[in-house]
Amino acid sequence: MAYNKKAQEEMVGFVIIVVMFIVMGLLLMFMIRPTQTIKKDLQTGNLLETLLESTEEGRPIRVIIESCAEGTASDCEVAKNASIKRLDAALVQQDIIVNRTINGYSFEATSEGFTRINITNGTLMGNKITGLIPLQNIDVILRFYY
Amino acid sequence: MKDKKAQMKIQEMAFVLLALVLLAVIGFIFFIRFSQQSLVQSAQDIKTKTTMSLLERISSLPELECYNKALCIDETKANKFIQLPDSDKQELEMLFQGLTSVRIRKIYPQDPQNPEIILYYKSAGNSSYSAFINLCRYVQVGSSGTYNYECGMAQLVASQK
Repeated sequence: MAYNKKAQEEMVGFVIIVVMFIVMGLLLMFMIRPTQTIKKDLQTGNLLETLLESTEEGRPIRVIIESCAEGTASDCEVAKNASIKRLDAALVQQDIIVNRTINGYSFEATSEGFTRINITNGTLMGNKITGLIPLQNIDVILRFYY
Repeated sequence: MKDKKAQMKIQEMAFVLLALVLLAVIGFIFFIRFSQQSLVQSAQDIKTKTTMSLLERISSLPELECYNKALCIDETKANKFIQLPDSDKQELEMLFQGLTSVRIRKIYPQDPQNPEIILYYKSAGNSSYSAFINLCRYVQVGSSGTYNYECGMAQLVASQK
């Protein structure tokens, strides 16, 4: 009887150790896994804010995007082209933009579940930093991939 | 025989303890790594916030600020500012506490003739901080005599020792 109890105790000990190894393994896998984190970045937000306040055809891009969300299709095109020009100009100086080497970016303006403007450039893989500005009737998101 | 069994038990216990210590060490290493990452991120965020607030203060100087807009510099005012005589500048330079240089780098529209406006220069700094700003100026629309307040994108760069 005592012999059986001792064997049971040994088994319980062994099971505890195995469980601990499994937990540690899972933890390790979670830590080592390549990070796909979404970070809201202050500098990206600052860049996006500046972009939206810059003017095209005498109007701030923010106003043009809001007009696009209200259904003026021509303004969607104007906002898209204006944003591309500015983002590409900003990327020329990418070494100092967000202190990272940028592989690509995406710029999205969505309202009521519809994507009104969608711009992508470069490789959209790896880590990303995000800037988000909600406007009156539309959300504008800028993501840099590095 | 009894001694051998006891030795086996001691060995078994030693291995279990070793495994536990190893687990604890691995766990501790990962904890440190994780903490370090979040600490570096927090430090970076604080640095960015401080920089932004300093650069915001510079861009809101009455001698530089735009009409009714935050984080914005009036290009005409900035060009006038750099032409100020040194005696007038000295008082304003008090505001650039601890900075070695302050300049505006134009991003859009690009200006190859004049890519930078140097507001203040004392010496080359060791570290520089930057924030995006709007650089605005009045532009005449055709020959109508009306003016639009056009804003481009620029970067306000401050250097420190």
